[in-house]
Amino acid sequence: MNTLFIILADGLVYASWLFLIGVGLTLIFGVLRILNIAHGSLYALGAYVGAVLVIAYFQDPDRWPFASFFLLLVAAILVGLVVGPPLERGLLRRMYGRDPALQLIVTYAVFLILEDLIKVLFGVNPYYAYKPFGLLGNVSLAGVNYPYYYLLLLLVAITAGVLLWFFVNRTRFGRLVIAVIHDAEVSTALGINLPRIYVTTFTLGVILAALGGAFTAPMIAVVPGIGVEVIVLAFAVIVIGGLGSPEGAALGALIVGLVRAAAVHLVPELELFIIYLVMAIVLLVRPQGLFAQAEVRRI
Amino acid sequence: MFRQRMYSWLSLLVALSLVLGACARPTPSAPEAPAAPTEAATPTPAPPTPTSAPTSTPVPPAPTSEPLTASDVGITPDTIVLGMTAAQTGPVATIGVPLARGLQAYFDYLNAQGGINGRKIKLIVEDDQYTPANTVAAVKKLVEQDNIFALVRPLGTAQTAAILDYAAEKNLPVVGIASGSSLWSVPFKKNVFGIQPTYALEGKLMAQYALDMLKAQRIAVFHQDDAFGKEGAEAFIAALKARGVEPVAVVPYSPTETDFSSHALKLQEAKPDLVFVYAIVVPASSLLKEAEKNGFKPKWLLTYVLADPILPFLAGTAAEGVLAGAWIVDPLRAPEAQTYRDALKKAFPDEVPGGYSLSSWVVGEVVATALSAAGRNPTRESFIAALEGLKDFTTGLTPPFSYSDSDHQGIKQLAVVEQHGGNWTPVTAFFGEAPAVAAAPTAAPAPTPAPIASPEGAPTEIKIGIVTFLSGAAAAPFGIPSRNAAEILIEQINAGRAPAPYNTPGIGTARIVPVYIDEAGGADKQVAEYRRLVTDEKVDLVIGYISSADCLAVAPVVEELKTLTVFFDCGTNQIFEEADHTYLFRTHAHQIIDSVGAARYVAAKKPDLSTVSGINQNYAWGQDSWNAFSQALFKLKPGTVIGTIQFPRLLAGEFSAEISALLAARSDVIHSSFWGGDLEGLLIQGIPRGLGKDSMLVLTTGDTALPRLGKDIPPGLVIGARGPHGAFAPDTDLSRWFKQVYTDRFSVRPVYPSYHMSQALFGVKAAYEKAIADNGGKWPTVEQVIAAFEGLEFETPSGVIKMALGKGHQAVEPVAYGTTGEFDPALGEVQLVDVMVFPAECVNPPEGIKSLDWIAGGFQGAQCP
Repeated sequence: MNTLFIILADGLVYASWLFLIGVGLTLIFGVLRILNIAHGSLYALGAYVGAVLVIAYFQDPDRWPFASFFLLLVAAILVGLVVGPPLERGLLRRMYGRDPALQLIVTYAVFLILEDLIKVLFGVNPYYAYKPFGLLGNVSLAGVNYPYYYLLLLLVAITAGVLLWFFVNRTRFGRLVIAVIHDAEVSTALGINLPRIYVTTFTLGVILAALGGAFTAPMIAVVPGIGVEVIVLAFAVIVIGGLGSPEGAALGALIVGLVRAAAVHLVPELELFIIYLVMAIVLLVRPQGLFAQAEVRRI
Repeated sequence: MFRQRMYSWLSLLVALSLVLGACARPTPSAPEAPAAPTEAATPTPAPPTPTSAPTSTPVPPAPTSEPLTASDVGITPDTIVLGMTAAQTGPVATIGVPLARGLQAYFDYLNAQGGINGRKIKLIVEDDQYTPANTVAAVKKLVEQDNIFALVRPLGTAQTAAILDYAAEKNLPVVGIASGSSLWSVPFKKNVFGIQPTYALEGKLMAQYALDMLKAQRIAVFHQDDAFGKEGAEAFIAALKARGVEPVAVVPYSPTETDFSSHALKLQEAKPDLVFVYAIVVPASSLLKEAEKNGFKPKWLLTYVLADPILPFLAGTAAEGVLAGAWIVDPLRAPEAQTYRDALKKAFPDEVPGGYSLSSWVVGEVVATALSAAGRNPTRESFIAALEGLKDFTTGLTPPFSYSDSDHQGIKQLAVVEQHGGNWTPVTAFFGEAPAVAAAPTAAPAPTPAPIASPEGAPTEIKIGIVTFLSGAAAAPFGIPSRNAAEILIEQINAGRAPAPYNTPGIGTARIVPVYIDEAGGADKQVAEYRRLVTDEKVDLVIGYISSADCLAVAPVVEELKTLTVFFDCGTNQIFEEADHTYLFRTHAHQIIDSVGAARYVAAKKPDLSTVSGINQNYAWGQDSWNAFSQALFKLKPGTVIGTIQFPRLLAGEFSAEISALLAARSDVIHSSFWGGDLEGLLIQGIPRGLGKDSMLVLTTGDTALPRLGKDIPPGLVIGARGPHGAFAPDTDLSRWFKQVYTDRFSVRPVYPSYHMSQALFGVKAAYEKAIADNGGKWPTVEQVIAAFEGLEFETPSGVIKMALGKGHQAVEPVAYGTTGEFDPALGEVQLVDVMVFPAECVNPPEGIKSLDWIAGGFQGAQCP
């Protein structure tokens, strides 16, 4: 019973992290129809900027420590606004409707460029910004300590998910986005400003990627290469959930999170492999992912 | 629908390729190839300045897209025409023919490889019968009718001297003259490049050799009475006189003479114990035969001009045991000359390999190297600039040499070879003029290094390939600290500033020149990089490898390429347990000491332990470490039960669930060989959750995290440093000095990979210097260095290292573990308490037993306090 409880807790923690790193990727794919491999570097950029801000903030140890959470959010928005628009306007818009293989290669190239750019900007030595992680203290669940930071992570993930849902489904701009998702050509004909939709959505996606990175930064040593690890997981999660579907990303994250936690506690030998097992099973049963996009409505 | 599905599969594919490619991601590699000439050459006092004087800016290497054009005289889109003058008939044809054939064989070989940038080399040889008047006519024909781009390896001093003015006027490059006259380099001539050591230099070096090594006291000189013979003999006699020695006889001969009986008698009457011969091959062999006939047996020391199989061919037994100079390797037997022998045989099946043809082959290599560096469409100017850009150039057939914009002399070193049964065998390494040790940037005031004489035959430089991670996840924790250690140590060693016993400059006075290579990219890439280091960079030895996978892949190639190689950090115990090695050494202990030491520490400090868990990365290092640790612990504490064994993905970074599992298991001991970002991630995520509070958390590489996480390391963690390194380093002069210079430069203390690097560098220095001592003060061969290295004991900042295993090729080290205590603000780290040092004999298997068998057998032969 205790183990089940711990698995549930671990699963939720991992799922919220997976959702944060995956949701931006699926959003961008849903609207722009581009699989953005550079997502991993945007996550890493978020982690670096978040770490740098937090470290700078704690230079003065007397500062109110809880503001550091806010700085992580600022880091994500900063990265999104600085990197998003130029990347979309400068490069990605030339790729719309092209061969998917070309899009993959181009975003992979961006990924490599950003990885090296990160080394140029931040060097190769690790950054440590772990202060916020222990700040909130622990809660003991079934005899195992969990930092409240994990709860914060869960809240951030849920908030991001809810806001995104609200934005897409309950605002005028969101309706325009849905229209574009369904038929970009007709939307243009009806007077929707397509470039504006694209650049806004992409920037939002970058902010979400950087948000995942920024909130991961206090848990890790921020070193070159962290983006590589994440991109693989993010792909797995959104493929399971259905490419382009934020709801799917949430479900995918939850499934992967719980299954992996179960593996860690029950059959640790399987841990390395379990995510891909889930992914392979889902692809065999529902190749379009669990939340199929409205692709079928196309003529 | 189809699109959706395709994307799903495509992304799966991408995901998998990223997983597989994560380790092999292309990264910018640090070392750069020897640069093409960048410095503009300023025309210095050149003799008869041609009207069309070459301007000084070399042409920058052209982009490969540039079409091939007829960029200068003798260059067409598909050919480069070169000319050569050499006697092909008459008495000197015995020299001229092999010279021409060696060059032709090289260009045939080069053309078969595709030529230079798609152009084939065409060589036109003109016979001048060793007569200057003919040479002038021949060169005019080559320039005006054949439109040659350059004149290569013309034979003869007087012959080539006769065409210098004409060549300058025509701006014709003259490269690699088959003559060691100083005329080519003094005064400086922009278009003329010598190759072989000047006769003046040889005279000087041979005088040193005769006095210092052969201990000759009565020295006579026999020389040709012309520019060639006088230059060498006069330099030889001047060097003798400078040492207060007068020659007992000086016997010149005219090039036209054919009978040398009177010369032999004159020499014999002076009763010399050594005769220095500066002659060409026919007079020299006649003299030797006359002397043999008369029973006159001094020590014969000959100019390098005579070091060719032709001499014993002509002189027979009279030439047995004679010594001569040599500026090229043994043409018949040196492994470096195999390509040459094969190519020569293919081009001229009846030509016996020898010094003349090999020396021309070398010139061919020099010319080809400069041509390919001279841009896609070379001009005479860019070709000259490229030649001037050759620095420390050698293909292994000659000592390294450099040209510059003020020095066109060529090779400045010689070896001495001895003739037996037609073979010339080296008795020394190359020795000669060494540029002064480059002044190292001064950091701290230091005692001036004691003046020390170079071992005989010592090179000026020793080139060491240094391979560590400069990018990727292993760069920050291991690669950079070890590279930094190499940088500061090499700088200090070259300047002679290290403390005793390493307070002499360089390695036996040879300056260490490092070539840094990035270890990132996977084992296959490292094998290729290793080959490149040995065959292209021509390093003297390689120090490298952090990853066990790279060590395992490189080890067999080391033996294949027969290059001294020192593994400095990789952990696997397999290398010397699976095979014997000759050229390979490892100057640190393998991972067994970490695992066995950790088990012994845990068993001693927590005698009542009953459960153990582990979290290790899911690849060789993590699995091997857990295996050895758990096996050792089960032997020491039978009945220990396993809690949970976690093997997360390497570099996963996020361990929330694994930490939960470890906390839930509540084992007495948790073992982890995590390193780098994973180690720090485990601590950052685990410490706030109380990991290590109720269980004893053992971190076998924990030392690297101490300076990084500072006061956030809680008390009670068990920390290892893979040996007596870092926080466990002994308090010796050498150790304090190393920590000081490292910290001053990099503002962070050295960690264990830095100490491992110091072990490799000091081990190499100790081995070379022992080999020099064993070799009577002469520069040793690789085999002699290996003999000295085997079983060596040497001082390091981590204490005395013994090369005790693997037939003297594998080091053993003690290992230390300690428990973290209070934060020490002065140190900037937590203190280590309850430190236990396990001697090498306690944590290493004895020679001949494999580590895991040793553990399984209950540590037989272990000597623990």
